[in-house]
Amino acid sequence: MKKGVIELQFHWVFVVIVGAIILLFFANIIFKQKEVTEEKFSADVLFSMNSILTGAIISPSTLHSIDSPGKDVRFDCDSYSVGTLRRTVGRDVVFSPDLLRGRKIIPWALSWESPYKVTNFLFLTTDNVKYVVVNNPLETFEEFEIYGELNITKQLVDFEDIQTLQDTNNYKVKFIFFNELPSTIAAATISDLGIAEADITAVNIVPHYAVFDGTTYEHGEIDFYRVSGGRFVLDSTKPFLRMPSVYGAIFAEDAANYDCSMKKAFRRLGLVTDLYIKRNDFLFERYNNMLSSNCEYYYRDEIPGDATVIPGAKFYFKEIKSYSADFTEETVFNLHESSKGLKQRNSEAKLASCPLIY
Amino acid sequence: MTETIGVLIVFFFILVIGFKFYATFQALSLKERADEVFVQQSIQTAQMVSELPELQCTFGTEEAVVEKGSCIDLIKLQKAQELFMNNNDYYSDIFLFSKISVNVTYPDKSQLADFYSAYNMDAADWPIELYSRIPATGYKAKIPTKYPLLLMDAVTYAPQTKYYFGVLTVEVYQPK
Repeated sequence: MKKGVIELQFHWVFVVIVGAIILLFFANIIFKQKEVTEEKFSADVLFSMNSILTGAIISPSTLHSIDSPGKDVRFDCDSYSVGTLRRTVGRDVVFSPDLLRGRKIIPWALSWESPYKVTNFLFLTTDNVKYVVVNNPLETFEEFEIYGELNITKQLVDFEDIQTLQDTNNYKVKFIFFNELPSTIAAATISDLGIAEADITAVNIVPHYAVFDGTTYEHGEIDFYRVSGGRFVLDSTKPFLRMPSVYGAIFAEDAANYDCSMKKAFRRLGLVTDLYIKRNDFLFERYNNMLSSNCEYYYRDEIPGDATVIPGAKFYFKEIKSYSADFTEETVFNLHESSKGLKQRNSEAKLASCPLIY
Repeated sequence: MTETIGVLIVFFFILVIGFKFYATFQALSLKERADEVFVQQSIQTAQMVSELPELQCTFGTEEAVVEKGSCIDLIKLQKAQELFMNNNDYYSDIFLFSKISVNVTYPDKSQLADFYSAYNMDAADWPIELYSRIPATGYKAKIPTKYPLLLMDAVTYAPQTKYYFGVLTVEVYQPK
C-alpha cells in the first residue's frame, strides 16, 4: 500500500477516536451539570422550605398557602428532604404527610399550651391532599367547628354517604371520624371509591373531655387507621391533649409520626416547666418575706386550708414536670388535671392582685 | 497531521481555560448563596429567640394564654441562663453558634435601684448574657442582630406591672 493511502486511513481513525473522546467529554459534562443543577434546585427548595417553616412557627394561627417549589418534599419527624439533600427539623414540632406534592403548600401553626405556652405546633399539607370530614349526627357541633377551621382541600360527608365520594385524583386522602367505628364500613364502599388503598388513611377522634360550648376538646384518644383488604384496620391508638394535638393527628402521616412529634412537644414541656418552677420559687421567696402581702400563698407547694391542705402552684408544676416525661394516656389525663389546678391558682393570684403564676 | 494535533491542543487549551473561568464563577455564586443563607439563618435565629416561651411575657387567663409580642419577662430572663446552660444539647439546636444577650436601654441602669433590690441584681449585671456558643475552630463571619423590646417587671411595683425598654442582641457565628 502506498504511504499516502495509509496516512489517509490513519487520519480518519484519528478523527473518529478524537471525535469520540470529545463527544464523551461533553456528554460527561452535560450529565455532571444536570446533577449539579438538580442539587442546586433541591438546595433552593430546602432553603425555601426552611423559611416557610420558620415563618409559620413565628407567626402562629395565620393560615396561608404558598406556591410549591415544584419538587416533592419528603418529611419525617426529624428531617425533610428534597432529592438527595436532607435538612433536620431540629426541635420544631412538625406534623405533615410523609410526602408533600401539589401546586400549593399549606403551612399552619398553632400555639400549644398546657396550661402555659410550650411551643408552636406546625402543620403542613398541600392542596392535593384531601381531608374527608365524616359527620356524626350524634356529635354535631364539634366536627363542624373543625371543618370550618381547616382551610384545606376538604369535603364533609355523612357516615352513611361515604360511598358517594368521588375520586378527585388526590395522591392522599385522609378520613376524619368522630366517635365512630371506621372498621364497620363495608369493604365494597372503600374499593368503590377508586382510590389506591395505600393512599387512604383515617383518624377517629374520641374526646374524653370538652370545654366551652363543646367545641374544644381538652383530652381524649385518637385511633389511627390504614386500609387493608378494602377495610379500615386499626393501626394504633394515641392520646391527645388540647386541640393543636388533634390537628397534629389529622395532619400527621401516621401514628408513629404523631407519637414522635408529641414526644418532642412533651420534652419541651418539661424544659419550660423547669423554668416556671424557678420563676415560681423566685415569687415565693420574694413574698414569703413580705408581711404586707399574702401573695406567697399561691406559689406554695401546699396551702394549709381549714380542714385539709390544698395543692399550690409549686405542687402542680412538679406534677406537670413529672408527667411530661412520658406521653401516654395516663400522663395526658394527669397533665390535664394538673393544668386545671394550676389554672385555678393563676386565676386566684390574679384576683388577689399578685403577679401571675404563668 | 501535526497541524491537526496543534489545532486539538489549542482547542483543549481554550476549553480548559473556559472551564476554569466557569468553575471560578460557580464557586463565587455558591459562596454568595451560602452567605445569603447564613444572613437569613441569623435573622431567623434572632426571631426565634424573641418568641421563645422560655422568655416571652405571657398572661394566663381562664380561656387561653395571651402572649405579648417583643416582650421579655425579667424573672424568666434571670432564670433562663441556667436552663439554657444545663440543657445545652437541646438549645444548641435552636440557637446554633451564637451569643445572646439582653440589655436595658431605658430608664438608665443607674435609676433602677428598686428593681435591683427586688431581683438581687446590680447595674454591673447588664447586659445579661443568656447563651454563648462560639465555634471552637474559629468563625468565618459573625452577624449581630439587634431587636428592640420591652422588659416586663411584674414584681417590683406589684400589683402594677412596669415595662422598661431593652434590646436583645443575637450574634450568630458562621463556623470555619
